[in-house]
Amino acid sequence: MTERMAGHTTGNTTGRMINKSLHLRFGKYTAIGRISFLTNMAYIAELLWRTVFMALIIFIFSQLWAVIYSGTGALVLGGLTYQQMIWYLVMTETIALARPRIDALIDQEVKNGDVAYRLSKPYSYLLYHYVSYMAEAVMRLVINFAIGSIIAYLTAGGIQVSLSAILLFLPAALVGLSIEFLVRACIGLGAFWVEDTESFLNLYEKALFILGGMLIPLELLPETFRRISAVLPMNFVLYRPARLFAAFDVQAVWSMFGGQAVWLLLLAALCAVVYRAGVKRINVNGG
Amino acid sequence: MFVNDVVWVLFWRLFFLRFPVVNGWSFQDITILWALFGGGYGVTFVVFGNVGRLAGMIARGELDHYLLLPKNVLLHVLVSRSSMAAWGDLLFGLIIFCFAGPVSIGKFVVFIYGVLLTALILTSFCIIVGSLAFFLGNSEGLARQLLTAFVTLATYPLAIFKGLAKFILLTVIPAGVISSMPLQLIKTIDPAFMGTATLFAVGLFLMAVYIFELGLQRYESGNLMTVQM
Amino acid sequence: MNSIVVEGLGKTFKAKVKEPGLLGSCRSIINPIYREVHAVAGIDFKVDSGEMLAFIGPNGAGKSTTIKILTGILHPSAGQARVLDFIPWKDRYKMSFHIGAVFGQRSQLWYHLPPLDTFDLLARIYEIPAADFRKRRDELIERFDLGEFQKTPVRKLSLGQRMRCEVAASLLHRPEVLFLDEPTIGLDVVAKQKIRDLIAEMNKAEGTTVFLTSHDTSDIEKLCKRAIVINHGTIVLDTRVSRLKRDYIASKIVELRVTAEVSNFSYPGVTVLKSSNYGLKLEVDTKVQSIERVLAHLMNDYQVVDITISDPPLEQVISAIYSEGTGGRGV
Repeated sequence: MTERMAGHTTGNTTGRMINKSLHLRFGKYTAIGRISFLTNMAYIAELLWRTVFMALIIFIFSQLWAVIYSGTGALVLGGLTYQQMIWYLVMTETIALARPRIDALIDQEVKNGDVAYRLSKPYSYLLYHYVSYMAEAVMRLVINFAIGSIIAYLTAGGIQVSLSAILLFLPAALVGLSIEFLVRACIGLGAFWVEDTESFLNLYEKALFILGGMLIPLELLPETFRRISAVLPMNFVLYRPARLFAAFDVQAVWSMFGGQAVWLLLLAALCAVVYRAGVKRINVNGG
Repeated sequence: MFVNDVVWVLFWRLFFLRFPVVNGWSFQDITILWALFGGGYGVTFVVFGNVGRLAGMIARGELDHYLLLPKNVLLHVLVSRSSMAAWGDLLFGLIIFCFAGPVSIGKFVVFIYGVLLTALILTSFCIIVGSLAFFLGNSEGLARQLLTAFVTLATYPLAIFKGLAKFILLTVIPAGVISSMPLQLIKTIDPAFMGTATLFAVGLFLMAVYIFELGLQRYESGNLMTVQM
Repeated sequence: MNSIVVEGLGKTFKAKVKEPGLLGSCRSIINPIYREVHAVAGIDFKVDSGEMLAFIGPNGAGKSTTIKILTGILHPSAGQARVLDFIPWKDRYKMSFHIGAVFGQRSQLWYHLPPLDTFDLLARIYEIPAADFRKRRDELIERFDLGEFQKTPVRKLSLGQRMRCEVAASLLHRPEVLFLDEPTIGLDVVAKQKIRDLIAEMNKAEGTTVFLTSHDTSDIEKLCKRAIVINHGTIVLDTRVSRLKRDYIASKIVELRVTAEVSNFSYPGVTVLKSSNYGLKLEVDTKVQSIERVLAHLMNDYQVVDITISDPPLEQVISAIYSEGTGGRGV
């Protein structure tokens, strides 16, 4: 019988064995990411359509805010100039329009038994979906960012962006998207107990609109809303990365990554618990 | 969708708390706009539930079923589906109107008239956009984008747009006709506006029907570009 | 050597009992009553390494429950099971490297990409070293004749081609046990035969244990030497397939077309299943009446244009087996 336990081939030194073991163990996830990326290339037309929608939204916002700035005679609102405001909104849209609908997919897989089926495969269900999600998210994020920047420039002109802001925005956005993944995964896994998970997603989405700073930067919201938003994860998904880009502030970087890390850990723990509870249901009920 | 509409109104509340007047628009006005559009959207999709799906139906040859029946194709296609969620929008529209300031019988009647005009314009627009599938083949994506654009544009004050944009919003994508209504129909009734808007809506509707019939002839004669399945 | 050992395996589910009507619905929410469903109620069997076993039974018999337990998805309520010396529900992860599964309705191929991409992915998932994988992949592509379309996106393949890819994919990591759940469903006759041949070939060449469920009698007849019949959660029969046919098919179906109408057909040992203007469908109880006599009678007395003789459907055989009593005929 062939002895094919992970990484164990006869005649290797311990060091190489460990390296090989790790490589083989996690190589599967980079492979999953790669294949997800390739699949998404097939949908590239769809992605470009979405940027048309972004152009429309930004156009509307630019008109609205132009009126506000000229109407109030202010040069700076919520700490942002008009140009910065437009770039801020472009960045929130860049992230918002990059989010794959993983909740719907997981919901479907719970309901049609795919989750149960995947239990017989040697990989982690959540990690599998996280990697596919991120592969898609990265692609969409980069396209949105590129086209969004062009739209912003054409609409409002350029802004002063520090190199740090540019280098940090995409990773910050990706961490934000990871947080969103965890929220959506939890919602999707809710299908183990609840018939209609879409309503929960709707609730989250609506909260994201306002408390995530998607339509208006949090500085311009009343005190109560700002306080609520501060203790929820949404602002770390859209508001913080976008604001970082539009108006870079070194202090803000640390508080952003700190906050993101906290929410990542909390939500990852929640997700793991929910998933395990769901698997237990399969183990008992057959799923 | 009811919840969706409520959140938007909440957003505008918070917005107008910070910026009380935007080119002559106040929070009350935007609430009325949402009431009008919510009602109009609701009426459209409750009565003509298939109006947003025309392009897809044409591309997939689903009109065949209707052509075999002794009823007017367009009307039959449109009414053979009704959106449940749209009832939420309709209800929302009616409720929020009551909260948007003092309501009198007269104002309510004008409001209903506005809702019906909105529905007529939206329906006509959807029919035209959907009918493009007769001439362009699989234009489902395009139709969806145009509908989304219309819906998005109709819920912002017309006053923020000028020049070319404003022109487009009053003609090609007539969302602007709807977003003119709060100030020119409900707040104060401008008879000239009312007349023009009515003529426009009716004219648009007739045009929509005409375009559909034209496309239908093409469909029947088999000139339609086939869709790769 | 045994690759699968099952002892006293049982699985009980709790199903909510809902009385009809509005009051019943309310009651079931406030004070739910549960009914115990014994999906699997004590089964025992052993499968030899390299054996090809058909695991059959009517819908709801407990087949999928058993497979889910053996693949580690479901935890049993009672009894023991070992697959290749692993306890499936405890060692699920480790075991997954040694088993393969093809579920007819489910695909593990990525839809928009060529099968080759899925194979690459599976190599990584099952941690197969690169050189081993390449050799294995090429071997399977040749054996399964996939060369022509290995680079075509899966969505463009015919069902037969796809199933060949699915089965090949499930063998990439050289599993010692292969679970096949309805592998030929939806395929045309030629494609079915091809898949069967390939599975038989792999079994012979590599000694893979095959655990097959199928509603297609020919799958069972042509692939497996042994069949286990399960119904209502217990094993009704565990026997060689050849004996199944010989001992338990006690009737034949005769379908004929005639030129003149046949009314009130009757003959000892024969039941009329269907009768129409120009056709008859009969069931001959071969324990009571010989098929030759019936045929002679038909040919003599009627203007027969066309005649077909077939075995009754397997479902009928199984139901008949069951109706003779559980725990009856063993091996």
